[in-house]
Amino acid sequence: MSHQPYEKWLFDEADLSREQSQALQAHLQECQQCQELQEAWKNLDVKIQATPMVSPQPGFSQRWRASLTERRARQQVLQVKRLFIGFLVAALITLLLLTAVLFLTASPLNLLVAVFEGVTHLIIWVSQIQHVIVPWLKTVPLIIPIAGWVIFSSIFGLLSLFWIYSIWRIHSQGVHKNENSL
Amino acid sequence: MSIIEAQRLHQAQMGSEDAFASLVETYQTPVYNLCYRMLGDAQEAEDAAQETFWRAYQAIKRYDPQRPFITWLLSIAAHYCIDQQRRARLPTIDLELLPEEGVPDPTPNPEKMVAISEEERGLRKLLVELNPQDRAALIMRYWYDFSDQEIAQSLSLTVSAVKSRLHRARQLLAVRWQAVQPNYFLKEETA
Repeated sequence: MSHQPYEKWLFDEADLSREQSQALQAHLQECQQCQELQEAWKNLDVKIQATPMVSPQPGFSQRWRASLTERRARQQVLQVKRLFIGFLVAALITLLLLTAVLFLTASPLNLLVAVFEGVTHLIIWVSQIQHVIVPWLKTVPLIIPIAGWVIFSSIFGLLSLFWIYSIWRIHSQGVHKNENSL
Repeated sequence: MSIIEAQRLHQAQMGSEDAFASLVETYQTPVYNLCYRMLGDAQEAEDAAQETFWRAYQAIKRYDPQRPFITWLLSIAAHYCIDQQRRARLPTIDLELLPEEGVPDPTPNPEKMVAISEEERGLRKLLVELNPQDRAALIMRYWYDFSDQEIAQSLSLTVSAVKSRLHRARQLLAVRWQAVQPNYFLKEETA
């Protein structure tokens, strides 16, 4: 015995026409299998409709807030890692490109000469700078009084402390919370 | 959606954490229920619901206020649960290994609690046998009264695919229920 389209009608929510409904009833009277299936679905349908929604354990939103802080911290660490890796990759690519350009445009001997010249110029420049800085360092402490040094060191120390505190606060509480509190 | 809720949504979109937390408070049950019906385990449902709200929090600026918020939220939850199940291949687990976990019920009658727990367990086992997308469609229809269009939008399916999935899910459930009825619902019938 063919169960179509009756089986389809049993599980579709579409309204049946009068003829379809009569045909279905006639089939159900003859077909024990479809009758049992219809009965099973009717019972189950009632049970599903009567099953209530399940609520989470109390304190769900508090747990969400706590997890938000953790997730943000993890995300920040991840962003820093991504940024660092990005810079590293960019630096490596630039270095490789520069090396390739250098070796393609100049002979290795010329490069060695250029490097040697560069190092020599650097040494000469450092020695010249020394002649300027050393006398200046010997003169300045005599001009600025001790009180000036104390004030300068204190301001510098306080700014450093404030900077460390800010970094700690952003790290522990997240950027958005600090933005809101400002 | 009420005016207050619309205001909260707007505030949440502007970056207010408190406004989003109040949305979490409002929608925790529907989201948790969907995750619980999809995954069949309280702890996994809790994790999935938390993940759903985190994803919603991250994407709240892209939310279109023309669309019902609950549909958008449940769409995130359903997609997450479907992905989880595809990864874990949950439908292949031994149904007898499912924990004997009951749902909290405020009724003081212990007999009723046992009956509900037994029914819950039976229903959970039946749902777990469905394909994740069929299950999601069925849950959205029966627990949330979603229309075919809303289910289609939430699950990124066509309306005809939703109809076909619902049909298949009902048929499979009826066949399986016939098979398991003596084991799971005998107590109730004899009572």
